[in-house]
Amino acid sequence: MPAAVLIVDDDAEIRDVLHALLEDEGYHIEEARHGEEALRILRATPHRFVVLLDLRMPVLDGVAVVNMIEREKALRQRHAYILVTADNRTLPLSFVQKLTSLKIPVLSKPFEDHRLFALVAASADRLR
Amino acid sequence: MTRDDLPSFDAPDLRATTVKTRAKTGTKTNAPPQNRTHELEIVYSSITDGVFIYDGAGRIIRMNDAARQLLRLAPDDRDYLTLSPGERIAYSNMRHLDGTPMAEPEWLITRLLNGEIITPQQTVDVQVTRANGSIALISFTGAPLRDDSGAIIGAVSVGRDVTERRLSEDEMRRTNLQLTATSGALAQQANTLERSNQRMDQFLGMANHELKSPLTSLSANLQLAARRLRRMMHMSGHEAEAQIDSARLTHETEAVLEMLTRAQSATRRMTRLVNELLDVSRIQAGKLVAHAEPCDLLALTRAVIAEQRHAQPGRVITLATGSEQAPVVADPDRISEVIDNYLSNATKYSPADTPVTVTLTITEADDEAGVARLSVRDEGRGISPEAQARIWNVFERLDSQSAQSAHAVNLGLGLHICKTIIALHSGEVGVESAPGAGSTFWFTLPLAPAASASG
Repeated sequence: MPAAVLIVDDDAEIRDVLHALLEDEGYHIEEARHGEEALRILRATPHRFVVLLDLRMPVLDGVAVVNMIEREKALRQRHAYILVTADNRTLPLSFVQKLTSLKIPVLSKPFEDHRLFALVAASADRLR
Repeated sequence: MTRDDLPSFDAPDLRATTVKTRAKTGTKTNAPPQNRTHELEIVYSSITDGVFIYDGAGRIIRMNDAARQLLRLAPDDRDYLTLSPGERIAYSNMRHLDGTPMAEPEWLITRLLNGEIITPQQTVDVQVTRANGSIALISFTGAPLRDDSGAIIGAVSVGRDVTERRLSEDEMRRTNLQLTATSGALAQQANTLERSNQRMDQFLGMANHELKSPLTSLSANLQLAARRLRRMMHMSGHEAEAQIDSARLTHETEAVLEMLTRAQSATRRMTRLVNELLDVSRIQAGKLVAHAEPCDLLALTRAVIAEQRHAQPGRVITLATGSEQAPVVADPDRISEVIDNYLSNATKYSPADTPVTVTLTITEADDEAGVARLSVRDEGRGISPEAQARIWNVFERLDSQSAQSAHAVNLGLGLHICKTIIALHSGEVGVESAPGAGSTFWFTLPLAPAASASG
């Protein structure tokens, strides 16, 4: 079974284009519009996901999701996460440290497709 | 200094009869050698502090040049030496530093003649009015003079002018007070700056996000399109000799066209944001100008509505007006921008299945120019009165959570720009809304004079 990717972003255009890019690479794709929807999927799914997580989202944002990942062992161990953000230069140091300790890499927006593929492939390897 | 020194210390040319008399009647009259007297005289007159020597009645019998200078007494002024302590205090108007009068027990001479030693640690500080009318602050030390039996026969005091020091201390106190006040004001300003800094940080964070979202979409769609085209080339290369699956090729081409369309739409979003940022810079520099020309507000409105209907097929946008035309003298591009902004907001901040109604009314007046009023009504969730006051300010925006899609998010500059544009045209803007009851944004423009309207 190919690795599964969950795209979490409130911007439909970004979801669409990420979906198409990764689907072309052979990944199985799911989408969520915000953190709450993402957590619902991640807790219920039998799959192990590579999660592309946007930072600024309504309902539950990326920071809140990262905090949940830190608290819930199952979320942490079953899935791998990549933070996708335009704010990569202004992230608070404490948050960057948290990302590092949780082994969550950051993909800055706009991104280069080869970097996206490399990060997703590395994360998918970790799940095996 | 002993009693015996006093007369010999007294130079013959100085009038110090009391002491002389006393000295003459004293038990011992053997004077120290002449050279010692001379030495003492030199020391005495060269001391830079004022030295005062008093007899047992508290009269000054001798004072050095510095003492005279301290009180600004003329060198030949002998009258001062004839004054009794009370007369002297009155003559100099000697007071406490705070200006309150001194009671007799508080006088320096009283305390010295009572046997008190005034040390530099607890000086007697007074203010005096000097012979030239100026006020000086003098700090005194002193000690009683005793004879061999220990009886007090006089006193000596040393006075130092501390006027400048005290003044500079006062000055410092005043400066300190001013500094305290200033630092309070500065703290307030810092607070204000801090707040505007926070708003600026928020704004920059938002601007970064809002600009990079379409940039991300643009960049990713172009990369995706390029990959798909490469795949198609690869595919057609392989299938060159075989029958090319034309249905599949059409499908792939349509997908690439869709990506390019999205890239173009992202470019438009970015252009709009960049224009808004530039407009706000122009407004803040006072350089936003309108190139006014006679035009028809109704025609401008119809054109903007047509564009919006094209951009959002399926969205119901109606136009209600009882007029054939609305002649105004205005910058058609800028006014179109305002109508477009109102319409975009209305569609963004209300559910997609609700209508947006544009109404253009004309009010003719007999004695003055008529007014055209354009309003845009939506069935969104409405705006609180508090927010209604804020939304026209720069860097404010409607709560992004109430937007119906991610693309509805904007920099909150639009309404500020609209208000500025309408003000440039001598018009007014406003909003009527209540939470849960939708919103009506409107603006007015003065109608063109009848001559240009009919022409």
